[in-house]
Amino acid sequence: LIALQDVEIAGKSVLEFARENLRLTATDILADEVDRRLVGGLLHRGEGGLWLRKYRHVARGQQIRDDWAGLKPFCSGTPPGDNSKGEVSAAWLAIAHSTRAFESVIFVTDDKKARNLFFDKLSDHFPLVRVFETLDFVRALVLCASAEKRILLPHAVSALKDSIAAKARNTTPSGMSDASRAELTNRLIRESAIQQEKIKIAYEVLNSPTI
Amino acid sequence: MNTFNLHKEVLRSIPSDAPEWFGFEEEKRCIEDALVGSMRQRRPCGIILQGAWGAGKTHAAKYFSAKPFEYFSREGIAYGGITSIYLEGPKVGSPSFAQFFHRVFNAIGFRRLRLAMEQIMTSGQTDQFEETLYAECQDEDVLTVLRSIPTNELPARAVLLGKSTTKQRTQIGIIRDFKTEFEMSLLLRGLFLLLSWPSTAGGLPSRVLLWVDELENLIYMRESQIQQFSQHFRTFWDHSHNVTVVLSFSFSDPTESGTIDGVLTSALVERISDRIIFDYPDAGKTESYLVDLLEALSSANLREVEQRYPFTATGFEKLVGLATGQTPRTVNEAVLRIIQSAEANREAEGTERLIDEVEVERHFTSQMAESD
Repeated sequence: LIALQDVEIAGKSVLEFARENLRLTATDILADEVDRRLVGGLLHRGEGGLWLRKYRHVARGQQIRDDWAGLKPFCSGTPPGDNSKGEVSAAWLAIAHSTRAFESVIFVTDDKKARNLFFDKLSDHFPLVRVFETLDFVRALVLCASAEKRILLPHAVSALKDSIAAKARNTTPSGMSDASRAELTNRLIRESAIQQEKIKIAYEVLNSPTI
Repeated sequence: MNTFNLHKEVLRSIPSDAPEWFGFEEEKRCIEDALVGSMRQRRPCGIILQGAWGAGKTHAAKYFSAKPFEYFSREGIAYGGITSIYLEGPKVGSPSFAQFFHRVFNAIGFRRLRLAMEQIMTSGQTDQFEETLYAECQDEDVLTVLRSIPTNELPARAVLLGKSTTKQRTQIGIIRDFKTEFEMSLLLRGLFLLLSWPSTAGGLPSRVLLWVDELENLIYMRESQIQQFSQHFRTFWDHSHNVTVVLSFSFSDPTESGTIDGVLTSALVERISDRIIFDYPDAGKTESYLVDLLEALSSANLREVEQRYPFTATGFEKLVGLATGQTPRTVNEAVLRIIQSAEANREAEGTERLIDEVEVERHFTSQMAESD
């Protein structure tokens, strides 16, 4: 959420696009986390408020498990501790949504630890649960919006650059050495080029003439 | 015992304000050619330096900023001079034009503006300057502020910083401060015209070089902020006929201009006329760099004795081999490490033997491993 809140597609928040095109849901534990981030000033008040009031409610109306024991088959290595409560409840929420109705669930995270913990395996066994990094999520939204002829390629590229910038700001540790920062900057520039190339090709396909 | 007796400050990995620049003759020539080329044209020009982190771009900027570029001629044409202004790149955060303006103003310094204005007045070119200034800025207040620099120093300075009182504005004869980013871009045009006015260079054509370093940091910034900044930057740049902007961008694959352009906005890319690539040096370039470096390291009396001191011939050969393809910053750090480690060994042994290939390899490799 923190990474997505500053990303814009053609002057409009990417989360607005998400609201228009997807059903958003938050578990109680995620909502508590949102609350803490809101107090800590990391999350914009308006966005945080919505997640606390609206999307938490969506999850609350359902009986969702929140124990990790049932997820054991997906969990490699050490069992998740208290710090992973959010991931555990989100995993159960994803399972519930993808099985109670034939509904595709997208879990958005840039946290590699969470993916390795069990999300990647969960996704292997519950095909309707997909795990997206914020960049892929933004790209999917951009393409969705573009298919409706609402946004042009330069706006799509800008949205991806915003995502990379937000990810960079949120993942750069303070006190990093100059050499490490240069290395990170190189990786981000490379990633930006790859993402831009992908979206350009996708646009070409979308706009290719029918023969 | 001071074993090697070397000037180790030469091995700084961060360039000082007035550095020497060893080796890199081709890059030096390319920059000089691009600068002279930009002086021939009375229009805004843009140059970009592309190279890996530590390849020498900032060093080049500081070298050219410190180098007096006055009254030189090329191919029979005389030039008045170049005023260099060096700016560190945007940091993480929002790149506002107001912040940029104040950094440029601080880099120029009020004293330099006052001297330039005084020279225009004493050379009797005030009317001509004011006419040109008005044509370029279309703003009476810019004219009035610049005119007041020599006579009303404090109020003029306050206005230029956007912090004037009503009384100070009345003293100068203007009614507003330059608070908006558009007004600042007008003011910047005026300041650069003042610095590049021919009377400051014996009536010959002169130019302002604006070095903007570390533009790779734009990757950390929001597009909307970058767009807003570049819009004002463009307004100022497009109307500053005597300004050459030199952008610097660090990337590990410096020849990939497309990837670099993907980070810069099109507003900047479209204004670049010359690209100078600081590629990874081959063996020949590395050797010439190291020879220059070791000459500067040795004290005067040692310089004539042995060009490769404090290395043996085979030690130097090994050093060239290992340093080839590395950036100057890496090479400097490795050479410093080798010398310091070798010095410590000599102190313990009580000898003064030169550094051989075995020591070079051992210390260079450990320095590289630590850097990774």
